[in-house]
Amino acid sequence: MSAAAEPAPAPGDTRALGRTLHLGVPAAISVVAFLVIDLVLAGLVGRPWGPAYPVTMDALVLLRMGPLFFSGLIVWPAMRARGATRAQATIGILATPVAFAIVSGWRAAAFFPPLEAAYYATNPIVIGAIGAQVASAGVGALAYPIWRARRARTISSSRWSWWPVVAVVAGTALTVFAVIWDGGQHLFYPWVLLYGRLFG
Amino acid sequence: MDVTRRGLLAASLGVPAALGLAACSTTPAAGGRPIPVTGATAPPGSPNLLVIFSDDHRADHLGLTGEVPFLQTPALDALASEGVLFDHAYVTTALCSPSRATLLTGQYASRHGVRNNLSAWIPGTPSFFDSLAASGYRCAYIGKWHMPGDLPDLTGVERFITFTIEEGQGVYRDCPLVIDGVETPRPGTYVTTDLTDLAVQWLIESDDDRPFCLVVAHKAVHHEFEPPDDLLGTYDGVEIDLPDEAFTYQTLLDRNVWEGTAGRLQTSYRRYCETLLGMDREIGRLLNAVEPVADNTVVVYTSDNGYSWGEHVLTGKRWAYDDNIKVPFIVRWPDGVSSPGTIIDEPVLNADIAPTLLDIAGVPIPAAMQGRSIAPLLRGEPVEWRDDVFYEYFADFPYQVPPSQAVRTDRWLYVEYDRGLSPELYDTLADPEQRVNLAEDPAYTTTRQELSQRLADLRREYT
Repeated sequence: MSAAAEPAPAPGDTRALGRTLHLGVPAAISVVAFLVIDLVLAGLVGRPWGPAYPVTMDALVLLRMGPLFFSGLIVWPAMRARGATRAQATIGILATPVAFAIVSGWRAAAFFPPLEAAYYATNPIVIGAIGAQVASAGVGALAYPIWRARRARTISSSRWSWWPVVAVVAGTALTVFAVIWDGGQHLFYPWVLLYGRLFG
Repeated sequence: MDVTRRGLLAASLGVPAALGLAACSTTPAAGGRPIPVTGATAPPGSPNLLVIFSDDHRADHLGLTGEVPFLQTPALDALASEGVLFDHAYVTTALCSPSRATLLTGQYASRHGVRNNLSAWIPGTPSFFDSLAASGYRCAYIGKWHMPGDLPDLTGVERFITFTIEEGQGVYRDCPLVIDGVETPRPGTYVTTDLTDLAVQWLIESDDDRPFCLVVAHKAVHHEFEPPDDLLGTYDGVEIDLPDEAFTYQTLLDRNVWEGTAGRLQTSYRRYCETLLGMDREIGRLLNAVEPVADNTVVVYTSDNGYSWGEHVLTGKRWAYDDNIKVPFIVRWPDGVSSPGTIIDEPVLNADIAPTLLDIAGVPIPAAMQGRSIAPLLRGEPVEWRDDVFYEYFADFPYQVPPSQAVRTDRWLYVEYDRGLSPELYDTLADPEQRVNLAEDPAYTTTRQELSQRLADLRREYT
């Protein structure tokens, strides 16, 4: 991605903050989308208003998984296209899982003491979401140059790199381990046992 | 008598003596300590005791109740028709480990110490097995133990078979067992069938005249809701009536996501019912095995807790709502039940099972037991009985359920939560699904105050 070659902002550049915000817009959209859906869901749950209630709730629950698990597909290439470094784009794709972790921990504080609630924020779904975001980012990094070249009716000139493939494989493996394989219990039980060691 | 009983049992089942259990029969007993009192002899005619204990079986999911039109539980229905069904049976804590400890000790979690699924059984905790073994009973525990930590030397039992895989939850297929302390692979088995086979085998292996006390604790019908192969899909076509507030993917909400049911609620529910159907079949097989001695065998069936299938947008247990705290509770006692085939309305507890077994066996009930013998209710004797029951729940990480205490009367459910959460009050007669919280309704201020005081009294009494 040629945009990644843009020079980094010089130290002390007064436009640095604005530029960072500009780079972070795709990630911010993902975070806001997740939070809005999550809030609407929390507000509506358990209050059936009519035949559309179950359909709407299902749609919201499934929709919430989009920004949480898969927004890296768009956030990564979008941030890179805006000139973000790989480190910045990595922070960008992790922003929504981190937001989920914070929300989870905050909600858990209603049921557990603060330190335990903070531990709750490290739950396997957060780990699974991180894995899915990494995998999604890998897919995005692979697909974006092809999509851009097709749009420009040219042949992609991007240099081939193995890292997106590695990201897809590693991210998928992490997600499968954390939340899919046997329902995620191979991570769930160690996580709970560690809780017992720390707080039991 | 022994030879006769063995012969009858074997003949009734056609079970070969070996039953592929060579590893078990040759394994030195290592799971239980020596019985405290040896040489004790149970009085002649002492009844056999069989406790069948399931997991997550909610009270209204019995065929005979008609609450779930398509559901069939012929073995349990037959058991109830020959015994009695308690229509208001509650658990003291609607959670696996505490409920199991309560079954064995007759105590509340506050007393026996197994407060949640992360609390271990305290070594040396006396159970009804100790009293029965000391009185000449031959005892066995076969099935789900599910209390964390190392398996204890369960005193009083001569056979202790359980599983430790998946933190004691076990798996439905190929579930490795710990048989008298020895890890034993069980390839090609379905756990409900396997546990039934082992229970039957233990009954057949009897080589003395002692009465038996056998607890069979199934993994079923806990998730992952895996029915036997031949029953998978049995209920695929049936219409499911979910609560109004439920929806298909509520299983993915934070409040439900750790219950192991992620996916379509309806699909999980169908598998739950099929798993229950499969367990009922195995219960029928076990009851057939004891048929030759049925006249002198007391059978108790119950579960560790109920289960929400969408009520309050919940999938799981732990809460004080009826879906969670009410359990099926059937007792067949040919020599004791005065009116077989009836329903008893008095509120009973899982904590009542231990003292009841001892009472029926003619064994003194330890003062430490907090439950009461229900034998007088079974006999139809006039007795002063409790009007309400106390419920307690302790935090169980990571489940988002606040610690609570509750009192359940014949009409009211009143719940107080820790951590500053508002109490709840339900009129269970007008609102059986407990949807309308009356706690803040001025019209019920007096009721709430009275129940709050009653709850405080019960808390003092039981914790």
